[in-house]
Amino acid sequence: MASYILKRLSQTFIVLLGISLVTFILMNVVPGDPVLLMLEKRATPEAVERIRREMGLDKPKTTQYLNFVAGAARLDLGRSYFTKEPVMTALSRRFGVTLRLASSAYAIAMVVGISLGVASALQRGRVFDSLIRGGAVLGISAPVFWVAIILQMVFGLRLGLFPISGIRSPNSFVLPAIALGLRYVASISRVTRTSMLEVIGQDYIRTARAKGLAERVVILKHALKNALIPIITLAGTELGNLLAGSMLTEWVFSIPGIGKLMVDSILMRDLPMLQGTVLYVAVVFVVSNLVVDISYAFIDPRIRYARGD
Amino acid sequence: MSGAPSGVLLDVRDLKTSFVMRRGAVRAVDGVSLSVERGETLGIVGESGCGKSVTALSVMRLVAEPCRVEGEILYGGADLLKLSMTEMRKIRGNKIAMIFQEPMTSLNPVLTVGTQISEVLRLHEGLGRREAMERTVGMLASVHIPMPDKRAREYPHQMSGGMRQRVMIAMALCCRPDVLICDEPTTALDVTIQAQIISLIEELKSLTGSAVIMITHDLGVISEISDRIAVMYAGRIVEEGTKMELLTDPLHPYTVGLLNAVPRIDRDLAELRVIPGMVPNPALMPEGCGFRPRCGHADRVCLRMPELLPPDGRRGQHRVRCWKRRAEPSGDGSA
Ligand SMILES: Nc1ncnc2c1ncn2[C@@H]1O[C@H](COP(=O)(O)OP(=O)(O)OP(=O)(O)O)[C@@H](O)[C@H]1O
Ligand SMILES: [Mg+2]
Repeated sequence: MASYILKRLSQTFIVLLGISLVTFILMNVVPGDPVLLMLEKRATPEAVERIRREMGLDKPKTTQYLNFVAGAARLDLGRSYFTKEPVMTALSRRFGVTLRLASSAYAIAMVVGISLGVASALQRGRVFDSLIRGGAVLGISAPVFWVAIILQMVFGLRLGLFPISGIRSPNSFVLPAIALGLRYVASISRVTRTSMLEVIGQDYIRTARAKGLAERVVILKHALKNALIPIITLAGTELGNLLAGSMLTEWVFSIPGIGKLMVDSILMRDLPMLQGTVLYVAVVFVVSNLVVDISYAFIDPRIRYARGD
Repeated sequence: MSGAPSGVLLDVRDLKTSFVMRRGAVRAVDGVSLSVERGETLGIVGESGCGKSVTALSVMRLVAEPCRVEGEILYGGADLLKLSMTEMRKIRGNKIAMIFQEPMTSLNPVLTVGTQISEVLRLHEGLGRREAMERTVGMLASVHIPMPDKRAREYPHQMSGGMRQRVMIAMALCCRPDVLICDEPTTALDVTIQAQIISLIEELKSLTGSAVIMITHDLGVISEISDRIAVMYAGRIVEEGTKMELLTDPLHPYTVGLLNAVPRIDRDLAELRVIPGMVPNPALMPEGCGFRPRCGHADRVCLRMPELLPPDGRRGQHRVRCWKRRAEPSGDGSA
């Protein structure tokens, strides 16, 4: 088990190195001279040259990359062109906000999604099942910003129940979390339903019933734990999606998280900041994959023993 | 309620089980009656698809929905078919336990075998976690699993098919059930393991005093351990009697065919005959006797369903469902 985790960690490290290279290349092919962007139009050529030197932009690209990696390893991603704030500080400040949003959305998705999926499987073929499945199709295909705007109009403006922008109170997260979480509720409930139906037909479920166990125990202890394996795969990737894909939601609800920071940096061509947010997204994906792989091993003894020591 | 005869533990009367399909109901078990006494082993034989598993599952009330189960299943003074699900659960795994045909898939892959056995003890005997686990280890030892305390912490995938079936037996017997239903416990295992499992069931039966219903399509197994034998064909019992009656004096052409199909040392292989044809699909059951299309003796009288009756002029427990039963009519004018 430990050796398996160690192996996956070292793989992750290599992937991260690759990502840093790709990010660096992307930033360098973006058109526009960052120094010119930073300075006013009337800056003298000497001033431009001096700043270029200060930022290390006069060095060869390989040196620039190595410096970038060395910086990143020390958690130093440079400073914003505009606010001069260190990128890392901005990221960590805003990560807290995004994390709150994403984890609320995630909690909604997991709790509501799994419950609906299990209920739908148990009610297979009945009206409730059809409603849930129809709802899931809608939930998956509805665009996030559209859902967000509808929520704002109905619960924010018409009913006045929740704030529609900013993060002044904990209530401010309700509508954004629902908007962001909805499609994940839908996808998780679908996978849960399919997976539960497959598991319920297995011989060991019949064995569990033959022991005299209550149906609740059969479903929650014997069936759900087996059904969880495909759900975890999805849930792990979805956690990455949620943390990295909150841009539209943050934008519509004016939530100062990393998604909004990214959109803002694109609009302002704040390259170091953009680079930082891109790197953040990549790291989130890689780490969530790692977590998924390791949690498989905890749930499924067959994997634990096959890959372990 | 009509009380069961004394000594009878489980008394199944006129059991009819149908599956509700898109194109109407399909009757897989059609009027089966059987009973077992304390300490007795009843063998049920029959070809694949004749309704053995469905009969067993009906007794446990575990037949896959949508289905309809009719008749009476009398146990402990009550009709199991009339019990609430809560009452039925107190009987399952406790008073009546079942071992399934498929040892490889009948255990839950994500729970240790110890958990799966001790769960039964905790449920029915109200034991705590520790006590239940101690009893579990004891049970594993009694089914001859080496290093039982280590094995209890293992998962099913770490065990062979024979081991898993031993675990299933331990699980089924841990609450000392009155009735143990074994649905082809050895079919999926190789021959040497089969013999071990059968003798294990025998051994434990004598310890717990359970009645055993042993389902199989292997007459060899049945003739080894049964006291009485019921032969099933196409959802019905076509012949039943004591082991002696059935093996030495088979009456139904199907039973005769089954016995002829068993290889025996004292007979030439050339004599070995397989019954031609196949078990009819329950959806396309022939009119009258179900065995008629495959029977060499069938004639017009077989277009009506014969009843399961004692052969004429004979005593004992022997019953046969055939118009052509071997004994000649006793000349009372009914022929
Ligand atoms: N869930 C079900 N739905 C519909 N038909 C079923 C179902 N289960 C069993 N049957 C049908 O009922 C009949 C009896 O099946 P059963 O499983 O009892 O046979 P069996 O005697 O146990 O055979 P085997 O030796 O192969 O286990 C078969 O024709 C089968 O197709
Ligand atoms: Mg069967």
